[in-house]
Amino acid sequence: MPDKADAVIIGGGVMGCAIAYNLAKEGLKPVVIEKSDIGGEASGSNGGGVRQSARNLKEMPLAMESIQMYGRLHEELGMDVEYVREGNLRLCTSEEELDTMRKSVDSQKSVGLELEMLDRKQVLDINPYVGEKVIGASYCPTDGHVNPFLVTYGFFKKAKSLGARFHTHEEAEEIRLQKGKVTAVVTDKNTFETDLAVDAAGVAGRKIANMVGLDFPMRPLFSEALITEPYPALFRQMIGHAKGLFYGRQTVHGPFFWGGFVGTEQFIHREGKPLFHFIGPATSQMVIDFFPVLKEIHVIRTWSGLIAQMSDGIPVLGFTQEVPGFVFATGFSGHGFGLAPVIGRLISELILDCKTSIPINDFCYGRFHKGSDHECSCQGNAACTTLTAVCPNKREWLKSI
Amino acid sequence: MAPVFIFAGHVREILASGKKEIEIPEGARVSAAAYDIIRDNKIRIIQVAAGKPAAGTEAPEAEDPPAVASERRSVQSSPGPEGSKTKTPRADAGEISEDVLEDIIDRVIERFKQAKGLQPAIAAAPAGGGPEPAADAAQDDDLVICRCEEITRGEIREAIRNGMQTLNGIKRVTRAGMGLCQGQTCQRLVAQIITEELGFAAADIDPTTARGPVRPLRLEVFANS
Repeated sequence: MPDKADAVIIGGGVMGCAIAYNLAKEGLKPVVIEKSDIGGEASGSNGGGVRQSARNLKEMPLAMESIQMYGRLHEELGMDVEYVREGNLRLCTSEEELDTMRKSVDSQKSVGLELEMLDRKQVLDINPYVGEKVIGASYCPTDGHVNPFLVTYGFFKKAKSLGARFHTHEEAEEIRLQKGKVTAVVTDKNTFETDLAVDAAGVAGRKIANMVGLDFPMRPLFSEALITEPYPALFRQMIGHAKGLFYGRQTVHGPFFWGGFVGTEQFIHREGKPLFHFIGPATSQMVIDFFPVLKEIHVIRTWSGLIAQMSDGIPVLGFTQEVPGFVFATGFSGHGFGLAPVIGRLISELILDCKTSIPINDFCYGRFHKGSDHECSCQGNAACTTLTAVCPNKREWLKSI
Repeated sequence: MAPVFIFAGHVREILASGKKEIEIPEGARVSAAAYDIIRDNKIRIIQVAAGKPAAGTEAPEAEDPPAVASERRSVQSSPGPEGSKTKTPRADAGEISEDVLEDIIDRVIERFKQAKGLQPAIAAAPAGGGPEPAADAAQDDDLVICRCEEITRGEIREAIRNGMQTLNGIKRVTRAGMGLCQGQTCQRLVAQIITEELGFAAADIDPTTARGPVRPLRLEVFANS
């Protein structure tokens, strides 16, 4: 006897759990399918940065709302998520970097983000530990960081207590369509009858979309990070680099987290596991250059993960007219964690009301299919969402096809 | 020169004297409990040059000129030619007074009681890495399983009952195995709790993903590897 679910969310990372939480809060009974443990992939290996600065301007309204939501998240979830809102410094070491940064700061200010350029002296006032070569930085005081495991776990626990069901260690294998619309999700253990399949599978999101014949330009991007032993509190900002070469923070427990990129790692990994460890040393060198005070601290662990990188660096969200009942919430391109609370809410609004309080048209699936039959015809906020299966008006219409 | 340790007792003495700042010599090791008090009471940290005694700490006499001292002020630096002078943490433990030790133990017990609303706990972690919690300890939810991060059996059980089934999953939500020893002590104990809770065969439990480096490595050493 197949199981019935109001919605099946494929992917039990932070996005899947946040969507499940918001749906469950509205009285729906979603099912979440996760192939490992909750937060087993990118949500369990990321840096926990929560930032608005240096984002694609299209994401800015979402990010700004998300920062507000993070401020209340511990109350909503009933647990501490170690959220720290102490700003984000993006360090510059050359005039060229400063110039690029100034331009980006100006464009971000134009969409209403509060951020500024600092000279070396001002940087030292905020963070006295930066090294000699730092000559300036951009500073966004409302950015911060969070413990990503606790956020994911918090959404998971809350969703579960509200009636969402979680099937971990279960892999989605097929999405059944009838007359082109979603009717069931089949896993290796169960079959769930449902009108709605939500693709929140992160780096596997493309594979899930392929199951219903959709495709978008996403590739896995390999990334490595390291963590040090605990150290007395030095600074609480999120640290970034003008060119994005490395990033990091000191966690609430005391250890420093540092992640970085060198550029060639994409060719030397197999299924997200490095074949050689060379990013760690490269990141360490950058950390020592930028924070000489840390050169004696011990590294205790390095790890790696895959980023769901879209060709244009912004996620795919919302419905598509191609497959009624299929919802995208994937492709966050390595900066999705900061958006999680707002994405959870917006996708749930979309499913329930066919419209979202913040427009998400810029993220529609149709943007990749300009000039074809697939082209997105977004006119208003609801255009991409015209075929939701839950909306009472559309449900009637759906029955008639 | 020998490393300097800062313990909870020192910090509390400073607190009691009404000061709101602590002098920590460069390269000194601050215990987790001491660090908690520093953070909770918002005590300002003043970094002083290595060799200068920290408030309340009887730092051993500096035997080397400062330039050499700064080369080897880290606790776990490998013994060089002058290795005999470099004291290992274990040798140093002899210099900790019993009062200080008692203070640390008190502090740990106090923390558990506060954090979990438990009965006064006997925080006796099983010695060695072997799976050997005694039968009478089987019900003991306040038994410390991960000593580095001070994670109890109860917390691990709660994570399992909430749906975590793998060592990696439990590590993420409880921090068991995230500390300095990277789960070398507690991994088998956690695996045993999983077998008890979920009835899996021990052989079916995957170890946590292997993560380099095998032992803590100084950032500057790692950078040149």
